[in-house]
Amino acid sequence: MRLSRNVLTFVLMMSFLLGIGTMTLRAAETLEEVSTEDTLYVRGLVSKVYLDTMQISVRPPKGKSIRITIDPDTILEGVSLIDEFKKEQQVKVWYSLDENSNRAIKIIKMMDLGC
Amino acid sequence: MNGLIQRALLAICIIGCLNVTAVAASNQDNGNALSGLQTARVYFDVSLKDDNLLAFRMELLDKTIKQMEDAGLEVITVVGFRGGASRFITRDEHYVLEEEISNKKKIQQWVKQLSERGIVIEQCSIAADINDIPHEDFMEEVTVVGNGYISLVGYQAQGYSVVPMD
Repeated sequence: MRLSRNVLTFVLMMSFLLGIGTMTLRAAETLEEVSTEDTLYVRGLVSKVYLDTMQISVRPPKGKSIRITIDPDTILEGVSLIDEFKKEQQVKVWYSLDENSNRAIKIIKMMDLGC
Repeated sequence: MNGLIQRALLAICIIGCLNVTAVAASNQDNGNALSGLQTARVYFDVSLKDDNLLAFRMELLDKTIKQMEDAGLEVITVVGFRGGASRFITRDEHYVLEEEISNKKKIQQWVKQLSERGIVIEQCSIAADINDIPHEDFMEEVTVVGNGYISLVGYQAQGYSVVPMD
């Protein structure tokens, strides 16, 4: 009886955690191209890649470069690793302010269509 | 005495060579290509995304037009921008990296000079939209057109020669 209660608690907890994870993923997938209270948005050119600190600098069209930290939770589209980012690539970045750093939530590398 | 003669002969040879070189240089024209032509219509298709190359090619573009004019042709020119070249003909220091700003200024200067000489500067609006550049952010000398490929087709149909700069 006790064992089944523990199993039930475990299953419920896992479902809850999975649910939160899915919701977070959904939210990241449906991010709009605007800054909100929680999430900031920038589109610009990659100006520098810092492999040692897992950061990239992004220069928006009309402003100074912003340094953004990539962590294991960052959703990457168009690249699978930070070292695939190259200077002058166009990217869309959603990030949040975490203490003293900008933590990337999602980064999309834009295709170079050439037309 | 012999040495003096040798030096004199050497000097004559050098002067002779220089003359031959000068004559050859003056003959380096495009007489065959331009034979019978009075007017040249040219569409420069500019899609380079490298700032160094683009700045150099703008200089070459200007030189090409001037050489045709010097050969006595009336040159009617359109310069069409698209692709990665688009961001270099926007206003101010926008849409480029810090290290590209000096070349962007050179490119902007070329665009102004060409425009003052009556050369049409076009920008493809599809490229502008893909690069997220609002049309009002382009230099005032630039005319934004619907589709750069249609411009290519249209100008060719009107007899313009297309010079790719990619």
